[in-house]
Amino acid sequence: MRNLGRCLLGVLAVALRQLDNTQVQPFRRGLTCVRSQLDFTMMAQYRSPTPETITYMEEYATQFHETKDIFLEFRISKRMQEKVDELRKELRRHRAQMRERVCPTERRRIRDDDCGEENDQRMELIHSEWNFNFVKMHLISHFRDHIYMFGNIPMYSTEYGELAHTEQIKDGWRRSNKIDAARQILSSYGRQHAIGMRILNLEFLQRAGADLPTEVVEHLGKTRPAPTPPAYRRILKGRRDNIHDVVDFGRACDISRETICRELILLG
Amino acid sequence: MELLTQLEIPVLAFHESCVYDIHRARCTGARLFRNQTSRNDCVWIQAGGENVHGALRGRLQARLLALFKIRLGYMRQDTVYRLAGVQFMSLVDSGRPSDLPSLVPVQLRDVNPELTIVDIGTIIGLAHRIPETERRWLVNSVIDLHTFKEIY
Repeated sequence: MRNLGRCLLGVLAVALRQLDNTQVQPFRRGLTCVRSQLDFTMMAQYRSPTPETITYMEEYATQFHETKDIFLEFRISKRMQEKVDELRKELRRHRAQMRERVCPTERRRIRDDDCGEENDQRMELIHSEWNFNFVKMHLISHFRDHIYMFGNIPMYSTEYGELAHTEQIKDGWRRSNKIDAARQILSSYGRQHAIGMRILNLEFLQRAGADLPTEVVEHLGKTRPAPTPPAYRRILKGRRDNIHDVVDFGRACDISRETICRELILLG
Repeated sequence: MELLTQLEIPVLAFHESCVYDIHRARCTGARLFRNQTSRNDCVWIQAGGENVHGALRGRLQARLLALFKIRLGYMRQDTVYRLAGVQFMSLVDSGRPSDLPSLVPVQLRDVNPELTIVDIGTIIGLAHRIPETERRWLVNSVIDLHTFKEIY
């Protein structure tokens, strides 16, 4: 859903750009709903929310709740669909009886009116018997309180737990002898965790100036990871062979030699 | 002169001060990429202060056409220029977002120079756009949190 959300708005905006008069209102409402939902999702991912961003988030949530009913008709169950079909059939039967005594021109006008009326009745029935009352939809309204009470939302993401699965289970399995794996996985992670804690404690003591045995200090020096250089430079990679001059360059990129020379002189 | 196919751009991660995301912009020129069509990624280029280009705040979208180095070997032996050939997109309606989806439309320039050469230092990250017509696109401002914060 997250990856879909990244492209959804643009794709919808492009798909719904040529509308006829009857489609403008519902599609605008649909776009507003999607936009507010996306804005809310983006704001909820902020790791340092401020009162201002939380207010924005609430506004988006309110707007989403106000416009979400446009999608209600796509949420109805099979039983509900049967009811709607039944209603439609009944209306048509009733109208057919009425229309028998009317001239053809009048009949066409009545048919257009009936179509609108049929849609209205259908939507009325759907709205009266179906809703968006389910847990996930309701949870949105608690985000504000949650942030004030416990901190930012991404901190409680379940993805971290899923990542921990690799470290805790998979690495443990690889280290085990595959015979009594469960016990070994549990003890392996427990040992690693304990050693990690022990090293942190020793490092803290070292920084505080405690008198540690020489072998411990040596060991701490070995276990400390080498500092990684900061990544702030743009790096060019993937050198192409047989490119020596502007002619080769122009041929490889499908750009005329004159253009390249002109631009290089301008840059000059 | 050296022609290259990939540029790694470090972009400061959202709400972080020392963690970088690496954006890998590829540019294969006219050559195919993995037996598919050629790949010339779209990037953001800082082309002015924050008060220009409307909602894009001083940045412009451009398509990478070439990544290259020029080494000046005779007079100034150590000088290497790391450059990129790009095709700029022009803004529609001065970079004002469209009414409802609030996305900024961009298009190919009518009097477009085929190529503009810029320093790779001005490239600030990968961009994403959604095609509307053959010459017109919508800038996707919800592709990541960084873009969302900068462009919205």
